Amino acid sequence: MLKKFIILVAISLGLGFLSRHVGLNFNQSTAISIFSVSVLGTLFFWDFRLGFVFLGTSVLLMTRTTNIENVIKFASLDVILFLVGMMVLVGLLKEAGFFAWIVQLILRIRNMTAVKFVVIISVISALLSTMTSEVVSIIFMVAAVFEICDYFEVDAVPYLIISILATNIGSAATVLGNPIGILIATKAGLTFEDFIIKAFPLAAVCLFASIFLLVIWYRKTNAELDKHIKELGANEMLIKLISIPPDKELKISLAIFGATLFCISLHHRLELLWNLEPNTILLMMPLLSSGAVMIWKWRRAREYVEKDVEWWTLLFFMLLFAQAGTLKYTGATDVLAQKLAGLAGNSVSVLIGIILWISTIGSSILDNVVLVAAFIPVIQSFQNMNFDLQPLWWALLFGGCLGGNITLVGSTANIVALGILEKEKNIRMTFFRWFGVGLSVGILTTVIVWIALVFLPFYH
Amino acid sequence: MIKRLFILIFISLAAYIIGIHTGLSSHQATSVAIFCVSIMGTLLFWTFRLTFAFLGTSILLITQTIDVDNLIKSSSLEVILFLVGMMVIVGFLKDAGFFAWLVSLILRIRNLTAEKFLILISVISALLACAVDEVTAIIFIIAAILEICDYFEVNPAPFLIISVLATNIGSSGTVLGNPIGIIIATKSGLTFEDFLVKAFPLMLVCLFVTIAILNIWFRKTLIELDHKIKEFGANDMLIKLISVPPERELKIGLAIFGATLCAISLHRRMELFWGLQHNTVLLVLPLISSGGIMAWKWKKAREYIEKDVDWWTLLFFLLLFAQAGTLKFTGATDVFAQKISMLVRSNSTLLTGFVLWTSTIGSSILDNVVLVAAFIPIIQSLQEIGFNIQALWWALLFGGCLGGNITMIGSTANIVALGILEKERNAKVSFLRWLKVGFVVGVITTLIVWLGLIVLPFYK
Repeated sequence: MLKKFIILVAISLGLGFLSRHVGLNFNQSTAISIFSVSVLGTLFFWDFRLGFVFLGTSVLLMTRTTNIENVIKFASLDVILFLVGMMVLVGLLKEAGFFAWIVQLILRIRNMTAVKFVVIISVISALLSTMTSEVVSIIFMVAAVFEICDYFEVDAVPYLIISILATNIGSAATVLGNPIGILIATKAGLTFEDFIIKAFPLAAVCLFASIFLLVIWYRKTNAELDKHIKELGANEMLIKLISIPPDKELKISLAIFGATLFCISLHHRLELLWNLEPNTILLMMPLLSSGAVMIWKWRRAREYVEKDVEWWTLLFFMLLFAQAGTLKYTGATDVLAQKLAGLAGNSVSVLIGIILWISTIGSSILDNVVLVAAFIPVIQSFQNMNFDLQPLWWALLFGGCLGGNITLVGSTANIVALGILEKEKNIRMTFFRWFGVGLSVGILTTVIVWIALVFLPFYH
Repeated sequence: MIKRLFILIFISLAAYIIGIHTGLSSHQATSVAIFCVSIMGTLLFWTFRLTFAFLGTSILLITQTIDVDNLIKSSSLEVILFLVGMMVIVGFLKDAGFFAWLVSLILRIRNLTAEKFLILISVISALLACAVDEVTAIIFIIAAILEICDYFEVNPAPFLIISVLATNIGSSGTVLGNPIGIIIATKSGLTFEDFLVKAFPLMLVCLFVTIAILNIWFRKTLIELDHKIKEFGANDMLIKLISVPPERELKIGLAIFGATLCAISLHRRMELFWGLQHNTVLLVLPLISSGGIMAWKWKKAREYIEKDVDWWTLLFFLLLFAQAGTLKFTGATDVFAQKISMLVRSNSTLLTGFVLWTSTIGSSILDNVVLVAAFIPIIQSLQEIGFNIQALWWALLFGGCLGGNITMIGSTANIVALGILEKERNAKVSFLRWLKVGFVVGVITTLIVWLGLIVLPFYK
């Protein structure tokens, strides 16, 4: 641990000195050096990464690299409040039995075949992570996958991997799937409709390409599953055993959630209608719904806020955003943007490629929120250089989500799902078992996105 | 419950209509009405007050009373982060056994007499409330009181009341005692040193007068206790039974806490020395200490953030501050300030009395943070009118803290303490029993502060 700590300090100091030497001023180098402390903190000390952002932010304030007003301004409290509201809503859905109900729907599918199973878990994983969030969706999908695999006595690991890969791909499709979605939407001024029209179809294409690839990749496992299904005579037993009819509470919860999603999807039109600032409705809708939910379930209100909201992560995000804001405030990201533009020879297509691949590869190792938080001010700087920003935002979104598939620590969903696998089945995933299939899917999907962003004028 | 909901809506609507009729613009009236919703929400629906803050804030955004940027700016995130840091530090102290050790110190006092006991618990309650915060202080002092009263077989209720009264008085002594301390410090630009030089002595005077009053008020109980002490032959047994020697971890914990307090008390000098903005060091120090603690106790880092930080309350504060900021943003508080200044005929002595008594009476019913959040922008507006406002800040601080003594729901410490008494001893204190002693102490201490603020030029 001490060794890792020394590495962290050495790299951060090294980066600071390096950037000083390539012509950045003192504040810019400090901002970069502190941000790299946070990056390395998440990489080496995942369990207490918050400690490093606390200290890093303090250093930024004490060295006058930033000031308190800027910390508050850049902390993106609107995004944090949005996430708080969504987490309360998802907590309600969980409690009302929504996810258990979805799981039993999967278990009760008739005429099950292996390929059908792969398609269904992929599509449902993707859709669920699009609507709620990837971490919540994967927890329940894992439960369904384990149930089925236990019943047919096959190895659950391949199907677990399939479901995780689909979850990460699905999380790129809307604003709600991943914290980076809402972050990009607020900073880029993109609306939910933009996401539905542009990101959703692209994510769907990636998903189907991945399903195709995975069916071939796991053909042996699928053949075995088919054999077991024939032997055991499909899942008639399961169908009879499990049947959870949706009760009244679940229906009301679903109605609330549906109404929220509906209003969120219309947010841009409502804002235009009432002449509000961009994204006001988007940000405020979860607050409104979760406020209503807390009146309805007032006995549980405090529990929703204390248990279902991931304060640890949100506090980390908040300070991380503030640090990324410091990169912008000091002008460090402008310098970086100029260097990148110079590297790309001022060609947008090349720049799209650079951003897409950097964010894909970066988020395969790092938390994608860390990466995106750092990249957002860089992309904002491109605006001053008269670049077309839209494809760059999509490149960042897809890179951040798809890169998570490459390694087994690439996204929170992976870490959570593999944690459950280890706890329930006592199977430890090896790095290379994941890496083979993850890299193939990751590269295939990123290439699809690359081609689409560069060649389709639709994304410009 | 429906009835109360109607009352809430009715009063808020009435506030809106009255506001419009007395010449407020529609935005100003909306902000006043929504703030009323939050006030009534805390008063009528304490267990889920956050709900009303959620809904109210959403309405403010939809009606364009304020925009997202200004909402964020007025949310006082720096105060929230300060409180998060302090809560982590206190959680760590709890963990290290600091409070258990303190309790054992009280239990092991030699030659105990009733009067000595009274003075001791008052002074320790007050000082502890100054150094940590009132709620934490009261929880541990009560543990000590219950222990001693059980040993001597006397009724703990009078001593519980004494320690709660002392806690509330003590919480006005420094920036750390009460959330309103740090709010006032950040908004007024008063430093920790100002608090130590001006608020602390005034607090001590109030405390000693209160001890004198209580000594007379509870003389019968004290005589009984003396009697029992003679019977039982002092607390020799307790002294022998309980002995918690401070262990190494506690010593380190105390050193960290002491260093933090020391640094906080010197914050103004450090800021001047390094040329930093006002209160930067004050706000940053808890972050540094808690960051250090999380790196040291990294296994428990997540627990400190999730268990020891009271997110429910902090989120409520955040939205409440934003709503109070809206009052200022719309200019509603400027109007109030003008009305108040007309009411007192621009006489600043009268104004001090007005602020002091309004906040004392207000905080005897309301949460003092709600009251202070609303008052701060008014006082800021009064400054623009040309009043000398230092005395007003002190009036607000003391009013907010001392008013909490008057009724049994006046401050969080009261509610927590009475809750423990009910749970552990199944004893209740009646509203009137509290009101009698609370009112006497509240009024006399407020009178002392009034005299101090008006007569002593020191506070101008």
